[in-house]
Amino acid sequence: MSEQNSITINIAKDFSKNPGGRFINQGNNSGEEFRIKYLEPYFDNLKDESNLIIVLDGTNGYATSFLDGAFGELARKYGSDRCMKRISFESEEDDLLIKEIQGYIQGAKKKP
Amino acid sequence: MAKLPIRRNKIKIDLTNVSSISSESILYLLSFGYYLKKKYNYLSLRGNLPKNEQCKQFMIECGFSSHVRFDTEFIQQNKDILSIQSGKTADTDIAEKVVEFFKLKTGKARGQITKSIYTTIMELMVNTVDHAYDSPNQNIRNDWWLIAFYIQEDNKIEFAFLDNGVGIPKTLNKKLKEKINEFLLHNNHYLLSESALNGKLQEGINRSRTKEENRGNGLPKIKSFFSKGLIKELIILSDKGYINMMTKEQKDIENNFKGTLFRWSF
Repeated sequence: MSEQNSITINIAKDFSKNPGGRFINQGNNSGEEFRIKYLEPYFDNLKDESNLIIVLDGTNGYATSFLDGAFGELARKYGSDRCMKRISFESEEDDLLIKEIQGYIQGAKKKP
Repeated sequence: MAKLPIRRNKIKIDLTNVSSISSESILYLLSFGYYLKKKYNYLSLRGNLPKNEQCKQFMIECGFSSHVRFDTEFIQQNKDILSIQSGKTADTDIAEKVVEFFKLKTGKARGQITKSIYTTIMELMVNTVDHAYDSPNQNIRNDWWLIAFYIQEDNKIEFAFLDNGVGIPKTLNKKLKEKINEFLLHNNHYLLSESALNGKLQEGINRSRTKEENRGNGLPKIKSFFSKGLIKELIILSDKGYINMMTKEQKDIENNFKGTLFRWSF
């Protein structure tokens, strides 16, 4: 994949350094809000094959429900394989976080 | 035509003769007072303060008077206490406020410890919101209540988080054996809370009542912070179940505790 097809999303800088819970109706900065605003636009267009690089560092922390509401639910909607193929993660602050998120993506069953 | 609910006047909390009270008891008192206020449609929650000067001062410093109407106004001045916070949503601003309080008091910079504090608080808030409508009275949304103290001598912060929901044991996806035990013995709440901390019921099936994928990960995450030493002195009291993670004491208490209390320190 060529370099110009890569899009970097820095959660702390582009979204919030204080990620919230799972759903929009549960409070501010939810995983659902992040997914709808920052991830789904790249998956709705079937011709879009850009590679998404998600930078995880710089936040105050992540609730498990935020991570599943953002990435697990994306995989349930668009398929785990497609998400795993197109999204990569970067974190120097927490080496276990990437595995945890990938677990949510791989463990998600696509909704019919 | 629908009947308008009867508006009652006020609930009054009389604390005149209280000589000693813990911060957790203050949270519980407020939580239960607000629960009754909503359930029975009272207009206000009013109160007085103890005659005992030390106890009175402590209650003011905790911010009790900001949540209950008094005839006089009190100013909370103790900078070693993050006064009582409460809400109904997963409020990231308050979680950040707690982290900033921790950093200011302990001098620690942002890192794994502050992340574990932020994440723990968010997990607990989300749990409260997730089970907001588990109550038999569907119109009552759960509140959460939070307080933090700086203990200068030990350079540590103590946290207490309380919700007035139905408690962990009632919100779990249970095994048949557990359901039978609960029905017959009524004394396995600490085991149910412990299993919620451990996560999965069996491979592929999580402990969350919703039975949806990737649910019920919040409590195992908090347990993992404790196992890594990122939070300390963790105590959980939910319904009748009591778990002290540090001393490994586990038991069912005699009376039902309405809600769930988490207490921990760093």
